[in-house]
Amino acid sequence: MACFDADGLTLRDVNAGLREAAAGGEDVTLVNPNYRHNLCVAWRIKGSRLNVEGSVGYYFAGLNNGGHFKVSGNAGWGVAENMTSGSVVVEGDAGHCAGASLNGGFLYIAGNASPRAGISMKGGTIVIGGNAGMMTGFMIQKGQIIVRGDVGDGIGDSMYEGEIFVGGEIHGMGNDAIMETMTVDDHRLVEEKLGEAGLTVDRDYEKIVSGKKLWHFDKKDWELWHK
Amino acid sequence: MCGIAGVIAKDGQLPVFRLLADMIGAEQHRGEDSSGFAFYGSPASHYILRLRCTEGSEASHRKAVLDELESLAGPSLDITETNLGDAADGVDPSFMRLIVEGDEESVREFARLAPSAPGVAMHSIGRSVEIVKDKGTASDIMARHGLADFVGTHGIAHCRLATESRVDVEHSHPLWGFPRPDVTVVHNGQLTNYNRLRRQLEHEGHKFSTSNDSELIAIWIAKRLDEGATLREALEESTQTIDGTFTYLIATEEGIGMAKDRLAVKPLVVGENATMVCMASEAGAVAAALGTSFDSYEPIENVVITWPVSTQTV
Repeated sequence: MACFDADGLTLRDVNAGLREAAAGGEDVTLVNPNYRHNLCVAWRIKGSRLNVEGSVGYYFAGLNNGGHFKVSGNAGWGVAENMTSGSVVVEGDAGHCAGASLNGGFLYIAGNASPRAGISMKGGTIVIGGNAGMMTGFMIQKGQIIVRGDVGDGIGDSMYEGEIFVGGEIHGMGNDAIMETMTVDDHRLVEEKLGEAGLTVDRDYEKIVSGKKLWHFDKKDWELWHK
Repeated sequence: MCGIAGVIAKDGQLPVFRLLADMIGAEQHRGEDSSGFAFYGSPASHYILRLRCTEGSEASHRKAVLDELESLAGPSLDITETNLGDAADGVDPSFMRLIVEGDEESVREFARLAPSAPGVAMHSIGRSVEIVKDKGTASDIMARHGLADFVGTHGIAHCRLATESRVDVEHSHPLWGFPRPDVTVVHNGQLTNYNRLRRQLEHEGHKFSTSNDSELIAIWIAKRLDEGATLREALEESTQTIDGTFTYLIATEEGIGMAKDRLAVKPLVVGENATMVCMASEAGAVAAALGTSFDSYEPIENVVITWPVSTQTV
């Protein structure tokens, strides 16, 4: 396993050095990430594994396509933003907009997630082990978000498609988000995705989907949006 | 963007400037137009006035400003200038620090009049606070104003990426809550009902020294405190009255408070250890003060928190 120390290096040198270290197929450990932004952005080395010892700043592993990342601490805003494939595991908490515009892959936040996790996601899966903030799954178009704990107000606001599953308390539904009965397939999906994160189903989950009333919004139907 | 930071001791005193400078230094990439600090120590028996001579740094301008302020102060107040160092040491001589001695009522009347004096840009007045702000980065200010040794109970700081008003010393944060001594604000965001609320406050006799929307927060909170509200009450009301995007820190002689708008668009990370609570826009800035091991969280939307001096979170 290769060890890469980010201390004292420019961001460009860190990201180039990490790619070089991972190119040969070896697992890489990054030390001294020091909350820096934009680490491992636009990673394209399929099947590579990178462990981060510490906490990262904004946009960690944004645009990831094929890398597998694990962060031992917290992640700042926009972790795994726009990921296409691969996986990102954050063992601590994540800042706002975790997995924003996610296209594919697997994002697991073991701790809590701040507001707007999975905003406008278009595919892939987000699993949140703890609680999630307001507007989780805002404008989600495809994919799944599974929250084991509680969610803040406005869950699934203006969602188009996709599903959100919540194991804890829901503090308020978003505009045009509705609850639907869990099917056998839904139970199987939740179990499978929690399993990918190393978790088991230890509680009941609610399923939230789009009410589809805002698909063809007309100003005359103002109250549908602004309840 | 903009970055904000604050620190408060759980007990006793801290090297407040050094901590805040380290925190702002760690998030300086959020804005390099200007930086500023409001330091708080235990309330003194006298007041400290921080200002800048807008006409220039020559001795004649400084003398004219001092004469003008002395005439405004009248016989009930004594004003003494503190030597901040020489231009040769890198200290900008257009910045002045005055000790104002006298009863509270006279000082308040003076604080009401002084911002209108010609050639005076008043940055702060208080028994506890001193504001030092300037164009450039935290390290520029450290070099130009020689504050590294300041020790106190708490403080707030800011680095600015200007969006809504001009880049100069006076439009930098922290901003003072005219006319109440010891109230200052640092703000990340922008206010959408600034003009309406400013007109209301001006109608009530409040003076604005800048066209920076953040100044309104300090003046509005100071007004509510003067009307008898607690800091927590004033902050809670402010989230309903003041509209826009904001995460701001308000400091008074009694501690620090924060408020975040209902959309939670502007960041704040709060961390603490055994000796202090630190709050900053970015986790890296909190880590710059607390090291690698601390408990942290991100306050949610529509939330108000206060940290009084010498006690933990209430």
